[in-house]
Amino acid sequence: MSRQQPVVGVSEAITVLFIFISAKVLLTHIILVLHAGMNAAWAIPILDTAVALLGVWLLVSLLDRYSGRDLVQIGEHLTGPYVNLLFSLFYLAVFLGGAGLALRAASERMVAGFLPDTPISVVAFSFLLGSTVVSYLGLEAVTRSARFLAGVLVVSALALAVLTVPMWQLHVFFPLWGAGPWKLLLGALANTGDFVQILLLGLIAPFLPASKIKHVGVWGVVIGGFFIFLFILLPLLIFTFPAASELTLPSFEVARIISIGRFGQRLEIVFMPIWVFGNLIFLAISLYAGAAVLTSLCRLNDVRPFVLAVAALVMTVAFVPQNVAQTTYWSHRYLSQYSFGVLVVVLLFLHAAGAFKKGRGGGKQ
Amino acid sequence: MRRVLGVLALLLLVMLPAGCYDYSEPDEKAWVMAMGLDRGRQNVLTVTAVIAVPKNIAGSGGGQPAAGGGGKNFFTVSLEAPTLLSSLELLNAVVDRRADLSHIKWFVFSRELAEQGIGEYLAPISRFYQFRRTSLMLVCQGRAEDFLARGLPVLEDNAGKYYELMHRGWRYTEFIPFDTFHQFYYKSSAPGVVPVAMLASLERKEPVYPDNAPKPKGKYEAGRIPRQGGSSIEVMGAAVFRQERMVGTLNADETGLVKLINGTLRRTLLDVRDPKHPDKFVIMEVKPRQRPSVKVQIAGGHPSIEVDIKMEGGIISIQSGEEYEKPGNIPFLEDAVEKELLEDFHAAVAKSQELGADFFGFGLYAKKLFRTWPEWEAYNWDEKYPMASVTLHVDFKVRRIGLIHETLPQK
Repeated sequence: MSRQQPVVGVSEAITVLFIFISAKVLLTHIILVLHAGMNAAWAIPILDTAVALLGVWLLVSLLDRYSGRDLVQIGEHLTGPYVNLLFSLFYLAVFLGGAGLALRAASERMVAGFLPDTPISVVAFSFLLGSTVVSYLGLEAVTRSARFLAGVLVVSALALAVLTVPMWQLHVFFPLWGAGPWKLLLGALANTGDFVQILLLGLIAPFLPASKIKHVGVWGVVIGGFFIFLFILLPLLIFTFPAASELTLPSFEVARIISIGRFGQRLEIVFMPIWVFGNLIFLAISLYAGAAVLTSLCRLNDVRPFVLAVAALVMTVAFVPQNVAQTTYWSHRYLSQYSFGVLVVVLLFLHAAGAFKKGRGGGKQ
Repeated sequence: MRRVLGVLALLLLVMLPAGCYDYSEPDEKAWVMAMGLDRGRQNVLTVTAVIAVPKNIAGSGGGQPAAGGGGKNFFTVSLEAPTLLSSLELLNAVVDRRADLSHIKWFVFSRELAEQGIGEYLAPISRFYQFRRTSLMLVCQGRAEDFLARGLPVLEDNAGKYYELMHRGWRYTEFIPFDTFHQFYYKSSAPGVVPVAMLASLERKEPVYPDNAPKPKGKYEAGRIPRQGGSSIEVMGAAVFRQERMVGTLNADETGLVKLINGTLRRTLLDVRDPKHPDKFVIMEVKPRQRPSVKVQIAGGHPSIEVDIKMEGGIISIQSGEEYEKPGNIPFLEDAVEKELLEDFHAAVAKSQELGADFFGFGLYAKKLFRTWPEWEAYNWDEKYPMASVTLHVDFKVRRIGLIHETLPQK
């Protein structure tokens, strides 16, 4: 993609995938699954992880069959430029829409929690600037930054969970079936979009060791699913249902509630790296992925000319919603709910096109 | 040169969010330590803010000590305002520094306001970014503005520390509830439990009781503690809420029982009537041996609740001089403690059923009997709880007898 062919290690790829999937726990819309699952909403990410693994299987089987190509190139090969343009627009919508809404939500969060007098545009610009620099430096810079910061993120997130143990209310697990088994299942299916970010695997696959793509996909989804599960469960355990469902910033409130004696309070500042680094990495990945889609679509070799354009688009998308509530509901409705279904349709279509082409003897692999 | 300029531009940008807009010096803030809410006289609410005077807390420099508990470490401002948070802005009309709630410890509601309903004040408090759910909810007898203005710390220079330590007593007394605003808030919206808040009062000057007949200390509550001296403020017992309105109070023993069932009671001293000398007391230290077991069954639509409490403790004092510390006599004391706890518990359960307020949180155990949340909500625990049959088993064991192993007769 970039001028030199990047090389991504397995652990870097897993890290970048799980952070890309689970960074949404730092924002509001993840808590909306409580409407679907009620007090058993923690089960939804577990079910969704299983569904996402099926998606990984679909994706990896396609990538394995057309080794050395990314999803955009495979789409062009199998369906031609016009249909593939539609698919690529969907990929772009996932990356740019997700990044734009995340940028707005993260900036609003900083304004709400830490910088109440700073204009939102300044905060958003600061976020975007950092992530643009990283993504401009290429996939290796993105994955290595993610790998470098993953330790901070994972340790901080687990520490956050451990420090809140005294506040856990175990009665929240009952009634065990929450909204009911059927509604829980429907809720899980309706929220599969939380894992649409497996799409990233389709773009970085050419830079991974060919035999490890499935390994990266499975572990990225499982670890990402674990953190989504954890950050849905934690607000439930601490704030209980239904009070947890009204939180705007669940992970932030979890940090604010920590109280260990007179001096162990106001620890949310200690956990700020989770929110800042998590969102920065998410944005950097999104910018790179968006630029990579455009690069493949235009049959170019260097992502860098597109990074700034994508950043400008992301900034524009960020300010399309009129307020933070709209941002949250759009993220939930258009990304968390429907996007994974669309991705599965695209992948099935590509599989069908591949089978059709193979049947006609034109399936060059 | 371009790179250097680029780096300089980036550094400048980094400084923007940290320094320009949200520049804020701690010594330019008026730190509100407590807020009180009363029914207003000239507007909807009278909001009282307790604002710390940091220079007096920290000392005046040059090795000078802090001013001490003379009341100069904070001052109070009472404003008539339409809402709680609009008073925060109004404060800046009379205070030179920008008022900030980030360090608030207490929200005090007058009993009059609490009985009217406080729901409309809870949600805004939890939404406002400066507020923390680790703050405390209090209901005071009388007006909150008097309570806060006259409630001067005696031992502390820092009003915030004073407020925190007043609540910290939950660890070593039975009569201070554990619950902060966090617990109060989630219990307000959860079916199966109702919230309680700390009950507080200013010192009562006139006598509370007409005679000196024996009265266990567990029967006291804030505003009804016979005393002279000490801080003007007293906290004891709890205010019970149902549907966002205060519906009753709990005395010290009742509060302790709520904590016992909730698993937040650590220890307490119990005045037990001497089984052989009813006019005397045996003072026992009592603490839970394990978390209470609560089993709820629902038959014919009505709940039956079975509570099994296991406690242990030691003898602190035997007024009568009876030799209860002898192994053969210890069961007398154990029975007396069990009887005392059973009586208190039955009275507290009767009160909760009379108020229609499950402040013990038995409903949280009843939830286990339902498959789904909609089924649980449809059962309407709050309506069924007053008809519930409650059975209690108490098992108390004397483990320690203090520093005297046998009592010699006094000459």
